[in-house]
Formats: sequence, C-alpha cells, structure tokens
Amino acid sequence: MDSSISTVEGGASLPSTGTDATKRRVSYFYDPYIGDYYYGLGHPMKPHRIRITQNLVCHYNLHRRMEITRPFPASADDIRWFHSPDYVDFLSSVSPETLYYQTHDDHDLKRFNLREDCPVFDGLFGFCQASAGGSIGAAVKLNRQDADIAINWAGGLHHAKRTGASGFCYVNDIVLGILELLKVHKRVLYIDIDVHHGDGVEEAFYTTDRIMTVSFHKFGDFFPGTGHIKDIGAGSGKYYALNAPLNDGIDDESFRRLFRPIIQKVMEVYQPEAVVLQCGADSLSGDRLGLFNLSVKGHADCLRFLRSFNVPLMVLGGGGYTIRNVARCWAYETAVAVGVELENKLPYNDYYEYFGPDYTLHVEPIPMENKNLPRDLEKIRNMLLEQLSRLPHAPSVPFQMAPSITEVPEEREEDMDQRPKPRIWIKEEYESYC
Amino acid sequence: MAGWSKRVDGSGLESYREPEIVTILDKQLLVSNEDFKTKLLTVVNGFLRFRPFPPMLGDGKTVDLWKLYLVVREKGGYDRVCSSGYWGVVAKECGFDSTSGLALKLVYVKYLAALDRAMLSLEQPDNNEKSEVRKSGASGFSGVRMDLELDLKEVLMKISDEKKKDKVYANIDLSNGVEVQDFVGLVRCSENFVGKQSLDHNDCDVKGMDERMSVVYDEEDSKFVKRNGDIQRDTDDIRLTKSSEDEEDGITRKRKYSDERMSVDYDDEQLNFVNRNGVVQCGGDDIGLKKSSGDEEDGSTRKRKRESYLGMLKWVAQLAKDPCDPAIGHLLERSKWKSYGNDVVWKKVLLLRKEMVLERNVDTSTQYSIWQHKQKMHPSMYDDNSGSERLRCSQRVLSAKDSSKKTRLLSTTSLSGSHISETLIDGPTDSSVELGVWWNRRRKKLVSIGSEFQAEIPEWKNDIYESDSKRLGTRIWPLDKNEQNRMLLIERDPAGKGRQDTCGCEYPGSFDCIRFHLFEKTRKVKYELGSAFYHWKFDCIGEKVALSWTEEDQQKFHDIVKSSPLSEDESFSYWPELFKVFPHKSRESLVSYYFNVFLLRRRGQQNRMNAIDIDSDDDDSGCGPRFICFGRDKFSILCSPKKAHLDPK
Repeated sequence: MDSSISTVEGGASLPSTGTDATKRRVSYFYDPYIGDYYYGLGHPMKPHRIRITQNLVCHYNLHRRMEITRPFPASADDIRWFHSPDYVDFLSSVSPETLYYQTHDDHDLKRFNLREDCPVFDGLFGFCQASAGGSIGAAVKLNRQDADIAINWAGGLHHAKRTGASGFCYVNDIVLGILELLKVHKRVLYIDIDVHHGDGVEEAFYTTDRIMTVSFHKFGDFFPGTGHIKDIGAGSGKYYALNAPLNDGIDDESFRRLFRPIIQKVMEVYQPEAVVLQCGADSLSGDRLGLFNLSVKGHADCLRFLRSFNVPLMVLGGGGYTIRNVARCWAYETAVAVGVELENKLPYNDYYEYFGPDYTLHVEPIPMENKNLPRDLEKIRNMLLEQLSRLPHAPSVPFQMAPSITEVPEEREEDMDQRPKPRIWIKEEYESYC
Repeated sequence: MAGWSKRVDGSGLESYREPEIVTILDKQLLVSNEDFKTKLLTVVNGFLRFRPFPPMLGDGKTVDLWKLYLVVREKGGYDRVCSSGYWGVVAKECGFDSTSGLALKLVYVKYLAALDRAMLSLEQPDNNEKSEVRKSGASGFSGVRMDLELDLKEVLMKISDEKKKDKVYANIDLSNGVEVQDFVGLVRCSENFVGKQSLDHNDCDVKGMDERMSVVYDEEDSKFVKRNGDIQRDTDDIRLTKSSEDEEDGITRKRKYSDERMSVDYDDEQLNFVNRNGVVQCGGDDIGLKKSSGDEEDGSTRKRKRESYLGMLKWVAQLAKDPCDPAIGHLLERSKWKSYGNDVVWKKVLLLRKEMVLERNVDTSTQYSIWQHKQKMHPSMYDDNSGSERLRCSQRVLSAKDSSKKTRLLSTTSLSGSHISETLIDGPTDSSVELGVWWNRRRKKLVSIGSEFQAEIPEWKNDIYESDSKRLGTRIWPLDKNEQNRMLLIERDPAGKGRQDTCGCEYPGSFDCIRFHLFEKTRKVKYELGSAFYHWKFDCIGEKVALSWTEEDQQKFHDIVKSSPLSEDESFSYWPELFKVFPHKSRESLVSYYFNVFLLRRRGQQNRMNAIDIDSDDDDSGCGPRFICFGRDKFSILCSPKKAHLDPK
C-alpha cells in the first residue's frame, strides 16, 4: 500500500506510472435488453445509449480484457434495502396500463414523484431491476475479490431518494451497491462527476462516516439545487460529504486541477477500502442538458486517476443525454479501466452512423466560456481541502468517537498493511481469456 | 454612525439599514415601557457578556458588582471617586483590602462604566451629546430612574448568585431552570439574559481551548446540538460538560473577543438586529441567544418561550419583508437627533448602542484580523429533529417552506457595514468577494435528515463474505472452455483498434461502403463472440432489426413518424399512432426499430447532407440542441456533395 501511495502522489501531477500500468481484473455488467427501455418521446434519458456503448466496446475488442456478466434482476427485497417498502411496492406494480385504468392513486404518483421527469413507462420496474442488479452484482464481485474494477453503465442513478423518484432516477442503484460493499469494506468513497449533484447518494449517507461522498457538479439554478459547498454532512457523518460547486463551461484542465488534489487528499485521509465512481456523462462538452465542457479524455481522467490507487473500484454510469457522446465516453472509460488505448477512428459498428459526420472517438470541445475563474476554483479547492484536514486521519485513530448502533468498532490499521497484494492480472490467466 | 451600509448580496430582504430596525424596535418599545427596560438591560448586559465572569481581583477574590456599584454611587459616582482618590475606601467598603482600590477601579471601568454611560445618556439632556460618547463615563446618577436601577440590581444580584453555583453546570442549570419557568416579568427576562450571557462565557472558554463549538438548544425538542464538535445528540436531557478549568480560563483570560453576535430568535418571526459586531434577533415564540464570537468562532442559540412580543414581532416581520414600507418611516440623520428629546425611545437605544460599539471597537479592532484569518468554515447548524431543515440564521427565510416551522422572517443589518454577514461566509475579508460569488450563495435546498431519508448502514462484520451466487449474475464472457478453442483460428484485430484509414471502395464513406465494412466487421466479431453474440442480442441491433420488418411496414413507420410534427407537446406524440398501426408489434419491437433503424438511417442521411441546421442528436422531440453541435462546420472526408442525395436504400 505504501508503495502505491507514493506512486499515486506522483500521479497527482504526472502521468500515472507504476502500479497504474498493471492490469486490473475488470468485470462488466450488461443487460442485453436495457436498450429497449424507453422513457417516452422527447425524454432525454435513453437507456439505448448503454447498448451503443456495449456495441462500441465489443467492436473495439475490449471484451477480451474483461469478464462480462448479465446482471441478475434485483428483487423488490433487494431494493427495499434502501427504498421504503411502500415506494417499492408502488414501483413494482405501476405501469402505463394501471395508470390508464386508474388503479393507482394519483396521490401516490405525486407522493413518489412519478411525474414529468420520472414518467411511468412500460417496463419501468424491469429497468430498475436491471440497473440495480448490475450495481449490486458489481459490489458482490468486488466483495468477493473477483474483480478489481466492476463496471455497470446502466447504474449510477444518483438522484433517486429513499421514498421517491427524482431526476430520471427511480431506484438508487448506487446506494444499494454501496450498502452491499459495506458488508465487507469498512469505508467506501463515493465520487460523482455527473454534471448534476449526487443528491440521492449524499442524502442516503449524510449522517455516517462509513461512506464519504464527493460530488463535483454544476451549482446555482440547476437541478437538483443541492450540493452547496457547505453541505458537509451531519452527525457522525459531519465532514464526510464534500461538494465542489462548479459553474458553466468548466474545461479539462480546470476540472483536473480541482479533482486531483481533492481526491488525492481524500484517498490519503479517508483511506477508503472501496471506491464508487459515478461517471455521469452529462458533464461532457455538448451535452443536451449539461453545461460543462469536458472532453472524453478529461472526463476519463477521473477514472484514470482513481484506477491508479488500485483500490477496488466500482464504475457506474449516470446522466448523459447526447447519446453518441455518452457511448464515446463510456467506451473510452471502459478502455481506461482495462488499460487499453483506443484509436480515434471508430471501428465500424452497428451504430456507426450515430457518430457522424466525423466517426471519431474524440470530438473537439466546443469553444465556450469557462465561467469558473481560477480564483474561485482555488478557493473551492482550499475550502474542501480544509474540510478534509478536519477529518481524523484514518486509520491511526478510531474512526468514530462514539460508536452508534450501526457502527462497527474500527479495527486497527493492520488491514491497510495486510491488504491483499494488488490484484495483478496474471498474464497466463489473461491470455486464456483471449 | 458612519459605516452603516446596505448588504450587497442582492437579497432585497436583507438589504435595509440598521437604523430602520432600530426604529422598529423603538416604535415597539414605545408601546411598552416594560419592554424597553428589558431591552435596555439586555443591551447593558451585553457589555458584561464578553468579560470573564464573575470578576476577580488579582488575589482571586470575586467582586460583588452590585455592591461595588452602590458604594461608588454613594461616594458620588465614578468621576468623584477618581478625583477624590476614594478607591481605597470603596475597596474597604466592599470588603476588600484598601490596597485593592485600583483593582476595583479597573473592575468598575470594565464592568460598570458602560452602564454608567447608559444611565447617563438616558438622563442627560440632549444638548450635551459629547458626554454620551465620553469614555470616562458618567459623572453622576442623580436622575437615574429608580425602577431602572432596581432592575439593574436584579441583574447584578443574579450575576453574583450565579458565581456561587456549581461552576461546571451552573449555567446550564440556570438556563434549564429558566426554561421551565413561565417567566413573565422583565426581571426574569433579565435573569434569562444574564444566564445566557454566562453560558456564552462558557462557550468562549471552550473556544479558548481551540475548540469550535456552538450550541443549538431547542426547548421543544430538547435537542442539543454541539456544532463543529462532531457531536450531535438527540436527548432529553442536556448535557453540556465543561470542565471548571475552562471556567477559570475564562476568568483569567484577556478580553479578546472581537466580534460578538447576540441574537434573540423568536420562532414565529425574527428580527435580526445587528449591533456592529453583535446581532440581536427578535422573534415571536422563542428567544434564542446566538453568539458567535469572532476570535473563538463559537455560537450558541437558545430558544425561549415568549408570547408577549408576538404582536410587536409580527410588525417587525412585516418590516423585514419590505424594508421600504412607508409605514416604517425613516430614521433621522444623527445631526437631527438633537431635535428629539431623550424620551424618544429609538434615540435612547441608539445612543446606548453607540456606547457599546465604541467600547468594543477600542479593544477589539486588533483582534479582528486574526479572526478573519482563522475563521474558514462556518459551522452548519441543525435546528431540530424535524428532520428536514437545517437552519442558519440568515437562511431562515429560505427555509420557510418547511411546514414544521412557522414562517420565519429575518432581518439583518450591520452597523459597521464591513462585516455584513459573518453567519453566511467565512470571514469578513472574504465577505466582499464571496458573498456575491455564485458558488457560495445561500443554499436554497437543504439535505434532509431522518430515518426516512438516510439509508440503514449494515454492520461491518469480519466474517467471511458470503453472497448468494445468483447475485453475481450470469457470466456471458469469457466463453467457457469448449467454445474458446474455436477462436484460436481467427485473425483478430488488437484491442482498441479503430477502422482503417482507407478502403478500396468505389465511394468511400457511402452507405454501401459502410454497410460492406460493417458486415465484414460484424462477422469477425460474431465469430469471436460465439454464443455471447446472441446473448447480447447483437443479432438484433442496428440495421439488422430492419430484417424482421417488411418493406411496407418500414415505409409506414417512417411515414407516421415523419408526418408528426416534432413537438415538445406530448399530445403530438406519434407513439399512439404507431401502436395503432402496428397492433401486432410489441412496444419493444417498435422502440427497437425506432432506435436501431429509423434514427440510424436518419442520422446517416444527415451526415451526408452537411446541413448546418440539423442537430445530429435530435433523436426525437423538438428539444433543441443547447449548443451548435461540433463537427458540423467541418466537411468530413466521408461527405461529398455527390453523395448527399444517395438514397439509403
């Protein structure tokens, strides 16, 4: 661990080297029917993008470097781990037909916020099951140490609340995945680079120090409105929520200068045993809803950086509403996870025309003003670093002064040293996959 | 009173000037002289608040302030005692060694001189304005109204009582006690304030140990939150443990509070009355005392039941809503104060406050910069366990939506103008910059706390992890061994490989060209993926979906979709029509055709038309693009005018 830390310190400013170059065992979750779920006409959320991603991944031959699993559908009971029973019951029984015949109460629709942004569409619960099943499965993989990186592009629906839907998200697969991870891992770090604030996850874990949530998001007159820099957690979770509010047009360089030092410090101070990265692709340049100006490479740099820490990593999807760019981004990030560099000219694939007229992997960022002044970003960074400096340094001191009922007495730091050796993909094993 | 200024954060609600607030106060005070006295005493007590308490001489003996006050008064007042050198006598009469005279003088100056001035300013005719400002204080008490003095006595007596109590718990006990009581009279009120002030001292002491803390006390919920101290408790009993050591620290420590914030919040409505460095908030049901002491960064909020101010506060709240309301009137320039007699209440309050401000400015100005640097993160404050609201004093307006709380209104202003909103931002140095900064604006939405919002965290066990293997899902890739052997024969592209730069097609980039290469590529992939190809439904994606559709159906589909105006209005959706026209096709099948064939073809045509006005991602509705899409201004190699009209079929 020591060696990897020291490597990583270099990684904050230099291209990652050392352990970063080693292979990771990557597990990838894909439900072949995910692309057929349809939120409705004009709805920007299109599960179809996950199918395009998968197609691109396979035509880039990335499947050779990973294990690909069809997720089990999460059961209503699984979903009840986090969500309230009445909400789950409603979600599992509602459909456009039942709405049509009005067997469901309008009041419930309102109560669970299944309106407008979150319509009741055909197969809604199946979609939720697939999405949540993937994230839970990914967590199981990491828990069993079957994989170093687990990817579920159908997950990352970070707005869903315990008792209701929000912002295209019905079931919070992230929370469910993290809850599964917590069975084995003492501390889990959640990082959110979606253009929207990861409010559902932050809220779910706002009062615990076993999960630290870090979100980088557009703030100010923007959905969902939370994520103020001074929302830092409460109770024993105080200081365990970090929010980096950003403004329109942030570019790769500015983002990186903020992301890397903060995550670096988080990793040092918090020392998570597992990391969950929500890779919402609406922070990409040219997104239909987002207002950031990140390139695919800049976006993927977050994953690249986290990968270099060699901590069990769950990579999830999220937003992303210009679907061709979402597919580009997630295919590229899959490549980052498996350690392959992709050629810019897209291979012929079943959705080739979606990527016209250039048919390239990377697209030029649009010229747009970066409204994030270096001065502001520096201040934000310093405020967050300062907040981090208030954390007890894990694990040399007991993590929680007054253990709550849900809290487990922390072990001494032995686990950090006795962590299994970095899980390096054995060459023979890898070759046998090919 | 130079330096009054408007808040500049753009919030109309809070952008009025302190004098107006004072006016409000005054008008209310006129209604009830009792109230005024209460207020006055409160403010007077404010002087004492940031002094170590109880006062002690060098030898550790505590000083009875009331007695000291009486003795000095009997000798003719502070000035007389000074000029006559009577301090030794005073010391004796107060029960000290005569050598303690000078020490007592110091105590008097520190603790009682401001009171003298306050009294004086009430009594002296207005034509001698300077005397009010004079630091040396009062020269006589002849005209001090007896009732006021009696109240004062109560206050001071209370203070002396206070010191006899258990040092660790005294203040808390007091506040608890006060809470239980249904205090009606103003004397009680005074006690209350004294108690709170004492509490503040304790806070400060803790601060002195470089610990950040603040207390939020909600009477009804009996919830005690220790801010910034990593402890948050929902308990019925209040446990505030302070070592007596702290208290002693407080006694001996130097006066170093540079900024004080005192607030009295009422539950129903609030008025924030900023007193240079201090804020007094007045509201309806609850009175809280909040104090954030700059150097120490602490704060404490206490709430008390108080019904009697309800009417007044409603009025104040109204003002808070609209500071420009003509009903409020204007406060006169200071130069015109003279024309008003001292019986005008607003004037009394202003003069008194000015005294306080002057005094504080003298010995706190140097501390301020330190505070500015030290205070970085304002501690957040949780109000109660209603679970859905986090309050910060300047934020309550915005949290009014919470039904569990009555409407809160707020008014804040600043006397000096330069330290506008310590509650909101990190420090005064940053205030000018950060207050208006988009990312540090006031929160509009708060994180909800409560069991209905947070997830239950499973216990971490050191056991061997067992999981239902079904939760792992079904592994599709890599294929099992039998199937793998087959693959060794094929020539494979390396992972990450893109397409060739050139091809031998007659019209590179044409539909036919692409279809040809895609076919070639798909065959490779299909061969390599084996059964996974079908598991992933690669056989029914892209153009291949069209194979299961008749030409006729395809034409119908295209016609229906194209005939529908692209509109955000759902009622124009072509889906109902599609379902009607294709009763035998499932929803999945239609959606699949839409994404895999229809959109793909349309995109193909767009790619070859070089049309600037087509958004390459307007997959369905008329939701327009946010930006001009990239790549459009460039002519792709694959696009040439002669191919623009090539039919996809």
